[in-house]
Order: sequence, then structure tokens, then C-alpha cells
Amino acid sequence: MTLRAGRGLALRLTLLNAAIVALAMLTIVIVMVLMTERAMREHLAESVAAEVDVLVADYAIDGIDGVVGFVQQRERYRSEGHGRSYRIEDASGRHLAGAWPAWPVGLVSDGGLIRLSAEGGTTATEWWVGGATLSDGSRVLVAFDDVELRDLMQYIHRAAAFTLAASLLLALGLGALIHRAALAPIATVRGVAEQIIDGDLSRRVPLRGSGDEFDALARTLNRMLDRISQLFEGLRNSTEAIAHDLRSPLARHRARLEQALLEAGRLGEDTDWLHTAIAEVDQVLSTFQSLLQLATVEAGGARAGFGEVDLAAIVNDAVSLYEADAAARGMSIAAEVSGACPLQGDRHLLFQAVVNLIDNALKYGRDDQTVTVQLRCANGIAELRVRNQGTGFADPERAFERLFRGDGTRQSPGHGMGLTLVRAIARLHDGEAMAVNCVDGAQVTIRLPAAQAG
Amino acid sequence: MSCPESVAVPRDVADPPMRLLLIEDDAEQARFALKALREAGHAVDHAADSREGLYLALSEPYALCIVDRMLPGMDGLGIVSALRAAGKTTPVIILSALGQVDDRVRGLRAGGDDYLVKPYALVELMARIDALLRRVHERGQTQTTLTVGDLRLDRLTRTVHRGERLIDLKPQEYRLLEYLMQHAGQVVTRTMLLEGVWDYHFDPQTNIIDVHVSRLRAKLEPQGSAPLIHTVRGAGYRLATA
Repeated sequence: MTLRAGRGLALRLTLLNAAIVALAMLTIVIVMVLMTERAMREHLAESVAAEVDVLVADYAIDGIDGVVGFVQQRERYRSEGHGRSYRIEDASGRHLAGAWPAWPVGLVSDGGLIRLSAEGGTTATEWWVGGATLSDGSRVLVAFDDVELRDLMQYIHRAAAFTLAASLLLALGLGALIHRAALAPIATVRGVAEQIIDGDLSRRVPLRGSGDEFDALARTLNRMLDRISQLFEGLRNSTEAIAHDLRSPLARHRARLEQALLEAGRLGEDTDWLHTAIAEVDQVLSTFQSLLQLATVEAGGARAGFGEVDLAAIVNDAVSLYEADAAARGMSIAAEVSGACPLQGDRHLLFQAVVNLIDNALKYGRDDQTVTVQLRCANGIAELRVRNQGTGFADPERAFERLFRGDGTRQSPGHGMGLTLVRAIARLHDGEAMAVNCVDGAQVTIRLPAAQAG
Repeated sequence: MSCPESVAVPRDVADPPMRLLLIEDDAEQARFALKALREAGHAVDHAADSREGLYLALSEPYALCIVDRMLPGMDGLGIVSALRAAGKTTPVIILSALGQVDDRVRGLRAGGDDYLVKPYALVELMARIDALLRRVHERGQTQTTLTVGDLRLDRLTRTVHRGERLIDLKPQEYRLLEYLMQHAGQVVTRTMLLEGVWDYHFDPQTNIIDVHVSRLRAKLEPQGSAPLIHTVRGAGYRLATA
């Protein structure tokens, strides 16, 4: 979940970035190619015009024979890949020199330029043709082909395409790296938030020390979390304070009731109401006691009783303690406990956890059904599953909340702290507790680190 | 529960002067406890602070001390440690508002014999005092046979007879009956049964003990026979012939 959400934005930003880079590069390349082509065309046209000018100048010095000789010489020394052709004809149109076959229609002989496709039309080669009329009425024609220009343009196009592709890849790659790096803190924040949702309110977003926007955000988030913790702690503390402070007056109240009971018994008076009153005080005291026990376990301050214990023996003891109760409810307990399961823990608290699970499963299971207790101990992990057949949890997500009752009525027996305590005990043992609804009932699993050899 | 035979207990500690010492600074709680204890027939001295308490506990031959953990001046556990260091074996019940399992562990490690969480029921305190006094009294003399009326439990063969009839008990039921018979005639609370028979300190969310007792009762008391296990309302159970 965390990674996917982070990548989504990084991917979009990367693509957007690449698109912008590509567009910019495309514009630059197109402009460059167009300008290059134009410059080269101008250069070719100028070359033709210059050659014509050379012939005209040569005529002025050496006369028509000089021009003819010049052209013959020129045609002999043809350069590779660059075709040039000439034609000299006299005023009557008679061919004097040069390989160009005929004076093209449309070519004016006053310095103009025309472009002609090659004869045969097999190649796309064009001839750039210029001409001039000499003072005796004879005409000179100069034709350069554009093969060189075409080759060069092809080369430039290839280079442009390569540049575009390379820059696109670079933009994508670097963009992805940069965005992932930039968005990594978001994944971190999300991870921390998930852990907090899972119940570890002490988690904070780590600062990177760079003092950038993400650090500022982390600081703000951490302050917000501190505040939430304070409120949460305040609520918890006040619950505990109430439980603690009300215990003494309730105890005195109970003692008075007990005194009254002794005296009423002596006088042979009716004591039913006193018994009821004492039972109710006991119920309140028991709730308070559970709250305070939960507080101690959650605070992690209950490790003094830790020692080497066998979870399998504890589970078996709990099952045997509750078998009679299950039978009395018309239910049964099926235990699947294999071998010993040694681990470091508090046997009384672990027993309390197992008892709470079984008690819960029996309480909310359907009559005539079975509660299954499975303990597996392998690879350093002890996994206890308690499953019943019934209506399941109204909301498995909230099963471990303090004072939360699945039925919402607060009518069922107990004080809604059984599973909360189970999870607190599991966490005290560096483990975890999970609740799920099965097809036909509910299952609570606790997973604890166990001794490897088990 | 049993000690080697060689450990001799001075008779004068456990016998006639059954005086108890209560070290408790809360005046009102002390008043209730003293009243209830005296009504139950105990002679009780009261010390309101730790110095006086320690002085009394060291100088007088008390049958049992009840020590509050939270005392001005010195932790109640300090008193227990000092007593033990001075060679006093007087049984001690520690009272504490700290009810967590590890507090209990610390309390028992310091030399306490029992640990009772405040607020406690007076019946619970009395039942525990009786049980502890009996335990100390019987120290060093393990009985191989326990008898209550026509009920007989043989610890060597682990068999139980009522009259001539052999009663078939599951191990758990046997241990429950053994505990009840050891405390015959005394009130035994549900918490004491959980701790004594199952050896776990925990808070049962339902009256899980009652189911076990009623099963045991059904086996011990077939129709027409005299009841042996009596329910003491608001307290627990008592095994007796009448």
C-alpha cells in the first residue's frame, strides 16, 4: 500500500517532467534542423551562383575558348559524392562544352536559379541549376546536385532523433530517481501513520536533519502526534485516576456493608439486600482492578514476573479449568496442543490472556458448539488460536478497544477489557494479537516469540 | 505446603497466645479490620507506623503479622525483610494497593507468606489468616490421610472414599478436594482456591470455580447423603460435616 501510493505520484511527476523536457528538446531540434537546412540550401545556391560568376569572369579574361577549357578541366576533376555539370552553348544554341544535355526550359540566363529533378527520376536527387548569358550571346550553365546536402540533412535528422531519444530517456530516468528520492519522506510518514493506526502511539516521524520542507512537515506532524498522545494519555490517566481514587471509598463502603452483614446475621435479619449490595460493589471494584492491571501491563512495567514458562502447560491448564464451564453451557472445548512450548514470560499474565480468550469464545459462542484452542510452536514463534462458532465480532477492527462491547448494549457480563488485556499481555511479551471473523464465528490469534528449540 | 520432618517448629509460636499484629497507617481501614478480627475471636495489636510495627513484631511473639506495603517511613516489604533478617519466622500477610502480579512476586520474595490486594474483603482476610495459621501449625507434620466425617483422602494412593464407597475423581477434582480438606471447617474463598489449587493469580471473569465445586459436590454427595461442601454466601466454601 505504502509503496504503491508513493509511486503513483512519482510516476505522474516523472512522466510530466519527461514530456516537458521532450517538448522543449523537440522545439530546439526542429528549429536547429530547419535553420541548418536553410543555411545549407543558401550555401548550395551561392555555390552555384559563384561558379557561374567564375565562368563569367573567366570569359572576360580568356574568352569563350578559355571558358570551354575551364569547364572541361572542371568536369575531369569530379569530387566523390558531389555531382556537378556544365553546359556552354553559343548564341545559336550550339553545344560547345559540358555534359549537361540541354538548356532547361525556364532557366533564365541572368543569374536566376532553378531546381530540376534528376533525369530518369529514380533518385530523389535534385540539380540546382544556374546560368548566365555572356556578352557575345553564348550561354553558360552550371548545375550542382544536392546529394551532399541530402546526406548531411539525413545525418542531422538522425542526430536530432538520437538527441531527442537520449534526452527523453535521461529525463525519465533522472526524473524517476529525483522524484522517488523527493517522495521517500512521504512513504516514511505513511509508514509511521500505519504503525500508529496499529496502536503504537509512541511512533514519530524521523527527522532527516536537512531542515527542508519535509523536515518541517515531520516536525509539525510530530507535534500533532505529541498533542494526540497527551490527550490520549490524559484520558487514560483520568480513567486510571478515577479507578484508583474510587477504590478506597468503595473499599470502606464494602467494609461497612460487611460489618452490617455480620450484625444483621447476628440479629437474624434479612441479609439479601446486603449481599446484593456487596456483589455490586465487588463488580465495580473488579472493573477498576482490571483497568489498573491493564494500565500496568500496557505501560510495560509488569516484567518482574518473567521467567521460563511452558505455554503449552498454561494452555492445557486453562482448557482444563474451563472444560467444566463449557460443559455447563452445553458447549465443548477442543484443544490441539502439541508438545512443550517454552518461552520467556509471566505465567500468571499468560494464563490470564488464555483464560480471557476462552471465556470470550464461550460467552459469544453458540450453544452446542465447539470452541477450538490451537497452540502451535515452531521456528521460534508460538501461535495460539482460539476460535468459536457464533455470530463473530461486530467489528473485528475494534475488538481490542478498551471498554468496547461488540454488542453495543453493554448488557453482557464482563467489563469490555478482556481482549484489550489479551493484546496488552501479548505486546508485553513482544507479541501481537489479531482478531478476525471466520465463515462461522470468530477467531483471535496471539503470536509470541518462543524459544527456538521449541 | 509441606516441609521436611526435621524442621521443628517451636510450639510456643503457634500455640496459646494467638495474637496478631496489624501494621496499617490508614486509620479507617485499620478500624474495620480490627473490629472484624476481634469479632472473629482474635487478639490483635495495631501499629500505625513502620517503626512501632517493626519494634512490636521483633519483640512480641505474634502468631501472625498483617503488614501494609505503603507505610510512612518504611516500605512494608522493608519490615518483612528486617523480620526475616532477624531470624523471625512469624508468618506475614502483605496488604497492598499494588495488585499486579510482579508486585506479588516482589512481596513474596521479600519473605511474605501471603499477599492480599487492597481493597480486600474482610472475609478474604479472615479466611487467609485462618489458612495461614493452620498451615504454620501443621508445618512439619504432613498428614498422609485427611479425614472429614466419613470422607477419607489418602495422599499416598491418591484415593478418596466416602464411607466404603470409592469416589472416582479427576486430578483437578482431587486437588480441589485436598485443598478443601486441608482447610476443613474454615472458609475458603474462590481466590484462595484459584491460587491454591490451580496455582495461578488471575481474575476469572466468570464464577469458574463454582462449576468445579458443584461437580465435585455431585460426586461427593450422592442423593440422600449428608452435605459436605457448604457454600458460604458472599465468601466462598467450607468443607465440614455440619
